[in-house]
Amino acid sequence: MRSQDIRDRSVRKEPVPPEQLDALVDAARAGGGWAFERLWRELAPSVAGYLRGRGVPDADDVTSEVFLVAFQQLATFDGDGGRFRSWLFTVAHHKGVDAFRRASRTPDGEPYVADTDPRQVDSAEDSALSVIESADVRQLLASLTADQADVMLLRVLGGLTIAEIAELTGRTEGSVKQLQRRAVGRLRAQLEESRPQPVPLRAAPSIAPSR
Amino acid sequence: MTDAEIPEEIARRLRPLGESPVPAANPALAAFLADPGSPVLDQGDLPAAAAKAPSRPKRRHTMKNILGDLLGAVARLGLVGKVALGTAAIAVAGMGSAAAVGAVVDDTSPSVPVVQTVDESEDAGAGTPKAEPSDDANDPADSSKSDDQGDDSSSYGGSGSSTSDDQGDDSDEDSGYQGGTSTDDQGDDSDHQGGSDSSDD
Repeated sequence: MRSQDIRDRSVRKEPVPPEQLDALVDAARAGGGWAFERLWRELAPSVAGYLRGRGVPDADDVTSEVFLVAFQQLATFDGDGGRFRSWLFTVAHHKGVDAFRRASRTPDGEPYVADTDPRQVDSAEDSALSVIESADVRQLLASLTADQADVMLLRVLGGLTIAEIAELTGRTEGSVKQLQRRAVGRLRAQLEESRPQPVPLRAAPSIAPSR
Repeated sequence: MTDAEIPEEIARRLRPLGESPVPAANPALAAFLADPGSPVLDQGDLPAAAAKAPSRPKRRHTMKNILGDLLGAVARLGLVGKVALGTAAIAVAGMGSAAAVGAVVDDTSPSVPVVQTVDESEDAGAGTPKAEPSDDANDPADSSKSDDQGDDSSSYGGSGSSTSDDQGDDSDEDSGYQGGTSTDDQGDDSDHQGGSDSSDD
């Protein structure tokens, strides 16, 4: 595949095809600067969505930290695009845990002043929150425990296997399967409740045969 | 559908979470993406890149923050660590209590043996334990005895047990004064030794 095709590919909502992801990782590992940018644009939304879904504070900043670590260690990374994606979510999982700890240790802080923030881009978090709310994803995730939501997000957004999640979270595969099974059950029940209930038809009055 | 698969309906409901716009890169990542060959990824340059980041809320070293740090450190400890910490705290508290109690006991304990409080009439029959102080009292060459006598009078607050008074006061002691000190026996050798033996016989 020509690198020009990858470079010119516009950002789409569907996930990047595996072969293109392989080429991007290879190009980035070889030092292609454009490949880092493309990897960021392709994978950052799902990583940020995973962190937001877990409720990680300042998810956008943590997403940047995740990619900075990944790019820093990309030269030593050995694997294809799929493995890189899984590894990225592994880093995101750990960074999310760190962010929760940081937030718990710093209950106090100076208030955020938007005027002093040099970032001029509109907050993607706000945009994403609107998407989340419109899709009722937050409501769906609220019915799950933190571990169940973590497993579901890693499976759906990160594409991690049961074995990879088990290794990442330090659980057994059976435990991860159990979490997923319970999460699916709860989500199904939630979806059933959200569906409009059909209006019961009135029973037709029985007409007694006239004698 | 196998046990490891997720129903498509549920996956479809969760996927919009990962289809959000590309988030804004923080300054450190933006600097790297602008120039991947820059040394921003060198470990030594990361603080410099972080210094360019928008000012984050600075933590103040208040007691609340320090206490929060300590509690956070304890929370990060494992079960074994917490148990060890609790055991150490209990041990330190116990040692402190023991030291305090020891100091109090040292201050209030009498400087002479408790033998002074033993009933004379019963001991006279046995005739053994109270011989030592009387022997010491009869030994004028023993300089330590004079010290003990002085301690006796001071520690008992002048309860009439001074050496000079009791040595010649045999009648008082025989008439029922049982609360004397070791010096009570000093002038009473005949009663305690020969006298009691003869009465028992």
